[in-house]
Amino acid sequence: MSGPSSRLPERLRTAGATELERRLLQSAGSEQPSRELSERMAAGIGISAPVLLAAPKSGAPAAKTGAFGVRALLPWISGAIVALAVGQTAVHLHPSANTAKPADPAAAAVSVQVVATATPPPTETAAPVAAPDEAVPSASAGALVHGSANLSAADLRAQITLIDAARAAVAAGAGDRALELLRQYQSRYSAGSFRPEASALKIEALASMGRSVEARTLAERFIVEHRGSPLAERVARITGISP
Amino acid sequence: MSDPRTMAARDRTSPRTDADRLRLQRMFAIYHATVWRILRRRGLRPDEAADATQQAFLVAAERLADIEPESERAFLVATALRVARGLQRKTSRLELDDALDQREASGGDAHADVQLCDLALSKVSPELAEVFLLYEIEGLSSNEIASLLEIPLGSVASRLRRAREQFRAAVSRLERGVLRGGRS
Repeated sequence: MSGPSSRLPERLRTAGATELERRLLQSAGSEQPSRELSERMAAGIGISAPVLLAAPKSGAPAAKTGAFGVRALLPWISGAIVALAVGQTAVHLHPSANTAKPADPAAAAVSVQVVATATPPPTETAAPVAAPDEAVPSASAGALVHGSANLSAADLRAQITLIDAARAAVAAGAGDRALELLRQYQSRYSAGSFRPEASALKIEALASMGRSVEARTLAERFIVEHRGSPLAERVARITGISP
Repeated sequence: MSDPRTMAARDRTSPRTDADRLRLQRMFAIYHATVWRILRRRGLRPDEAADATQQAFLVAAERLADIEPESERAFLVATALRVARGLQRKTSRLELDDALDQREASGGDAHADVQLCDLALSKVSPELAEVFLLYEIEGLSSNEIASLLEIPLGSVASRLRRAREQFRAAVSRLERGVLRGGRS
């Protein structure tokens, strides 16, 4: 049924889009409901809202974080939410936790996290709820806040700026510059919201500079700590490690 | 939330068992933002999209036993699209001037980009726009789209092709307006 004529082209965002088209599509695909709306929806359905849905109040888009986007982490984060919320009970109670083979990565990530509740989750996922901030135009549901419920909009913006700059440096082949920016990030935000992204970018920068032994060493640890996440898959791909 | 009809629906559809409740909670955690976003792209305001998302999940709660675990997203998205089609929006869509004003005022931030994207999408024929947003924005596969829209794969491809033409033409018109600083 699926002949050559029905094969879909590569998605615009990855091939063939103008800069504006790509930006519009990316922004539209990153938009998240505000925490208030999420809570309202959950209450209306008669369930409790996920604890980490710290989106901006106005339902604004998530950060423009590109390939390492926060949004890419959402399935993983959501899984962690469920795992934390329901604990090991879910393994026994959820009909699909042991048997389902979800068709999409999001569901797969959740299963991984739910089953993994016997072992401590990655430290990033055990963090308290991010405080919503009307002025924050980004970060949305993926904004895991480590150790602070009072993260300011300025803090988040500064973090995103550093991460974006580091990503741009990696993309431009400026590995040294990327490493310096990431060092700044890790120094300033030891409990920052984007530590996994920073670590993954560091690995990518090292790999691009030919420092493959260091990249691989960090990658092995990263993959163990973030197993099942899209970032871990990317790191594995970059360093040639089987995830 | 306080709408009596919604409350009645909730009471009627409340998950019967802990397992159902956990499943619904899990589905909500994973998919509610996707469903809400799809409804936003179909022209609903944030609060309208939230109400419609709630409706989609209430339908899912009612039919939980019929939904295969691997079809949860498809079920929710298909339900959301049906809800959106049935809403027959009365409120006016965002207009170009508003979008450009907001974009200029914000320095071209992501929120303004979302509005421009919605404006461009509003220029795409509805049945084509559904395929476009599911494939280009939400990243669904052609099989998923064909299944949930109940159309052949070939139709997915042809609708996507035409949707792209219309979307890109709309963005191009927007871009010319933005670059001129004028109002196209």
